[in-house]
Amino acid sequence: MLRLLAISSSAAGWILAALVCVIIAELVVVLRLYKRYRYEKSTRIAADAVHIDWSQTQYVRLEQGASELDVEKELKRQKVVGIVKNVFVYIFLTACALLAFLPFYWMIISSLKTEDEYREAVPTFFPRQFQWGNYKAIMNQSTSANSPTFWRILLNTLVVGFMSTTIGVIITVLTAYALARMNFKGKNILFAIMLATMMIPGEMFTLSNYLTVSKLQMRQTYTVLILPFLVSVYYIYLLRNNFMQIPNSLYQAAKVDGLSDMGYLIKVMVPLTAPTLISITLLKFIGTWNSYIWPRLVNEQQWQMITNWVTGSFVDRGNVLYGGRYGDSDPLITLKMAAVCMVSLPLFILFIFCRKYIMRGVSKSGTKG
Amino acid sequence: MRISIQHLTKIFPSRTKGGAAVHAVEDMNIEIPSGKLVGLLGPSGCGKSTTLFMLSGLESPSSGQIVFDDQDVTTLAAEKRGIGLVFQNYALYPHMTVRENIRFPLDNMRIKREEGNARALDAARLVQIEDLLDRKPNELSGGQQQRVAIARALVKMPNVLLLDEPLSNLDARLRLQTREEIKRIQRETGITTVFVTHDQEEAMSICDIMVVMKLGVVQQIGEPQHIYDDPNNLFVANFLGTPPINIFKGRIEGGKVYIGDEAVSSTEFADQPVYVGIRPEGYIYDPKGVFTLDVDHIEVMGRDKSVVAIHQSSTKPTVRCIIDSDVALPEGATQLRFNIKPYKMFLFNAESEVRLRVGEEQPVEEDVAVVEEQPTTDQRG
Amino acid sequence: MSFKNKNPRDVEADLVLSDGPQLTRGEKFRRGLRAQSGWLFVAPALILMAVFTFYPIIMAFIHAFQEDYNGANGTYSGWGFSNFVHVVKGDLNRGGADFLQCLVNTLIFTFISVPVSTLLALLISVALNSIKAVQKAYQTILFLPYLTNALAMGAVFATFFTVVGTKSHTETVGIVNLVLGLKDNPINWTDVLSSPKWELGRITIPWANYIVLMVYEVWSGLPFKILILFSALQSINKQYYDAAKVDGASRWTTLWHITAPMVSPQISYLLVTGIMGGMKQYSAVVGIFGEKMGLRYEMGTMVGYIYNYIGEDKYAGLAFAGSLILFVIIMIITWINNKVTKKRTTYR
Repeated sequence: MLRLLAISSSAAGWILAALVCVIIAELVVVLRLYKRYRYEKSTRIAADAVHIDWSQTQYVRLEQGASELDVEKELKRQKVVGIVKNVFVYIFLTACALLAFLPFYWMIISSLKTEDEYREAVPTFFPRQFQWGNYKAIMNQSTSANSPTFWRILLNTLVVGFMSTTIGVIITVLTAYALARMNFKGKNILFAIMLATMMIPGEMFTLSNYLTVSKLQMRQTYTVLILPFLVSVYYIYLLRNNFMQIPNSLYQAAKVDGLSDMGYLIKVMVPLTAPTLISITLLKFIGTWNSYIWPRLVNEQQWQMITNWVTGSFVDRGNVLYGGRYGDSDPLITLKMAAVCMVSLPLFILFIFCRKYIMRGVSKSGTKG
Repeated sequence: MRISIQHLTKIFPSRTKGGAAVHAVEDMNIEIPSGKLVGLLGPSGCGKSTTLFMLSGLESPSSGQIVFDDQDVTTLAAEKRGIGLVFQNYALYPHMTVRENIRFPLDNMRIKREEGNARALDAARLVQIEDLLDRKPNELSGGQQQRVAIARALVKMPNVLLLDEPLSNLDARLRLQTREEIKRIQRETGITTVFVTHDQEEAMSICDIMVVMKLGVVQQIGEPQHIYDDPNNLFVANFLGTPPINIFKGRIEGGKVYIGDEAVSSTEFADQPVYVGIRPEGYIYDPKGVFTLDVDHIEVMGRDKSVVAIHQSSTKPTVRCIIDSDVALPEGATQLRFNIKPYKMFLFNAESEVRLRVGEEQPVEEDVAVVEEQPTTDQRG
Repeated sequence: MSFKNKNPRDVEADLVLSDGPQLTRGEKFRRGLRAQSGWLFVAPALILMAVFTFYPIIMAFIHAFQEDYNGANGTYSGWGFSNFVHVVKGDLNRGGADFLQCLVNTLIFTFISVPVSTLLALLISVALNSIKAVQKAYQTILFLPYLTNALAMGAVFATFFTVVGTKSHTETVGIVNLVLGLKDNPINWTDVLSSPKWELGRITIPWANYIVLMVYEVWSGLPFKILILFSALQSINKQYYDAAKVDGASRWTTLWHITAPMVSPQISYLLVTGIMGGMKQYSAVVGIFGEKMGLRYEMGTMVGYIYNYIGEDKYAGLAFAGSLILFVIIMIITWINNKVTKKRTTYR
């Protein structure tokens, strides 16, 4: 018992010490910045200059540096430093890259192991035999008695994702267009109010919305998953700015050509801002795919989304895989990892094929996913 | 600090696959005596900036040597060379005040804050910006930024001061003022200074020694006036002087130099086709002169007047002759005749464009080793 | 203001200024209406926002000050600050989340993981920026964790730290225990019970669990930060580095006195968005520690606190009060950020 304490406290103690160091370092940085600020302020009262005698000091550097400098040695040092630096940089980056990739690798190999292999004392880094049965198991069986199957959940997610993305983008385009191009009374106030809501944390809406949809008897439907998140002020803001960049002369030209406002929007504005629209569409869909809190609050299992499904516990239901060795109450990590892979795969594919658009959108918003 | 550049060559590998490597500098040899102001002059892409960066240590030469006094510094890192460098765009650190910018090299030399501040102030006084010390670079005008950059380069008391196109980002009036300023600072500090420019007027006006370069090859080294009076080749003659030299296609026949049908001067050289270069101030109006020009128009400039003329052998559309304003020219004349001052006229071989000189004697500056003459026709593009 | 399908007179009226031809009352009215047609475009968004944004905000403010508010039938006993008092005192926790615990957790998570991942991102970006060979490959791999599902990846991280199975059965102690040499006496890092902890009155700090969460936070926060910093680094004029070299700056000096200040706008942007995000932390904790955020919200966050009251209509007022406190904290951060931003300039 004592030994356990000693070991656990020595290993974890180091980590703890590191955490404490981080906090101290943060304090030190703040303090230094403040001190520096104070110092710089004080030096503004100019100190008296030391007059530099250029004729005398011209060779100071030479005497200090060059003549004492063993050029041979210095050159060797430069070379060594250069190589060492490069080696360090590559080791560092390789380590980081491995750590960045490790969870993905782990998740994939774990999902293809048998539970027995997974639980071996020394983990294997490649499955002895691919267990595609894990995937079959999670796709075709419910996780518990009244829970939905994977296919039902996938259907929910796709329906909600498709609906909220399409309608959401249409609403975003219309609103952004009106705010960018049309003149109507109260436009600026409306826009300001909309922007102000961006500062308010979403949790504040969620609570009241929960009460609202309960009262409206909207729970256990797709509608309740779609409606509250159709309007996103940030995307409206993004698109409006994009619309504003299109020169006004195009609008006038279109008017002369007899295009209506709607026609102008569809035939000119939308094609011109296609990259932004694609970013918005992708991000909206990803947002729906990752939504977790709201579906969990308002809907029971049959109506939930894929992220809710993945948080469930996956057991060897009906003892199909291991003949009762693990039973109904022992969640299997391998099945869970298979589920995790299923959820992550579409995101992966999107990331690979649409990286440019996603990064564009995200790097502007500063929010993930 | 004496600088000696020996067989310095810089070859940039081709950017595209299979393309030819670029010879930015080729076999350069220069001796720079201590305490001089040296100008590297040439059109853009002639390798003058590359040379400067090799002197600074930011670029490493492909071959050849750079020697400071007796130290071979060819591959020595920039920070060990004790040089000050002023960048074309000044490269002032935008997040630091002027004071911090100037003090930055001193901080890196682990000089105490108080002393650093004091020296920064003195350097600022030298370039007359002591009132601006607490501003940020973006609050300064181009000329002021330039001075800060010079102060930053000077404050560590460098062995060599290097300036990359120091005046190119300034407007015309400021340029004139700043170039006097650079001359003054250089004289006051006595630091060996090398600067790069593409403006021949600028180089001529402040340099002690001028190095004319073209396509990576040194064309001529010497005092500005000397180079102007005695160019090595057509390129140098053409590059120096405003208005530029007039160049005619001509030939030597039987000891006479012909432009068109007129023999304008006698010569000892063998018969050959030549280019004849005549400086604009090299014409003397004489109704019985040897050289006839068709007058286009005459510009009166006050101190002098210039005859803008046309000649069928000229390589340029117009020929310009500058004449004293006292000289009376016949009213409305369509043709004028001139005599030519012999020391304002140069002959160049039509093929190699090298100056034809008498015998083997060549003008050698005492403290400057002249580079072997290079043909200016260069295959590199 | 369409020109299509209109009689010529209308078109003219559109073109000519107000002192044009005399208009009848009806025409004037119609033209006035047309000028306001923008409202038609914003109507769908406006209606939805009214129901799901504006109304809830107002109601949140109201409910937070209603004493004994019951979400189910909307009854309340009076107005006052009792909800806030209960939140802070924690006397209505019913074995659920404790506000103080959640607040402390959130602050610690945020103020450690955000600076650490930003600093790490800066170092990685600088390293990435300094190499030439295979730069693209590293870049791609480092960006991989960019788009992830917090709950899914949280589950993966949990497996690194969790002891699975029992000694008698097969058991794996998890990679982290193996690497740390704790094979025989493993720590179950994701288990609140077995985590070593400090007790500070009402607050428990199960710091082994903290470490798991922070490792995840750093890992998931890095790609975005690297993306921002790396592109910022790439756009720094190379001349500054040359100048620094000539000025004799060491690598270290260059990093802290040239590079870091040059990207300081991006760094402070990352810190602010990171802190804002950290304040709203929720999914990752659930992904690793389950929906109860530990056993009884030992790993709870502010958002976790708010949601722990949902479905319990009797305590809805507490949830609203909690959300209002979160709102105030975020406003304070925004305010500080604006103060700091005023002095900041971009260097390109």
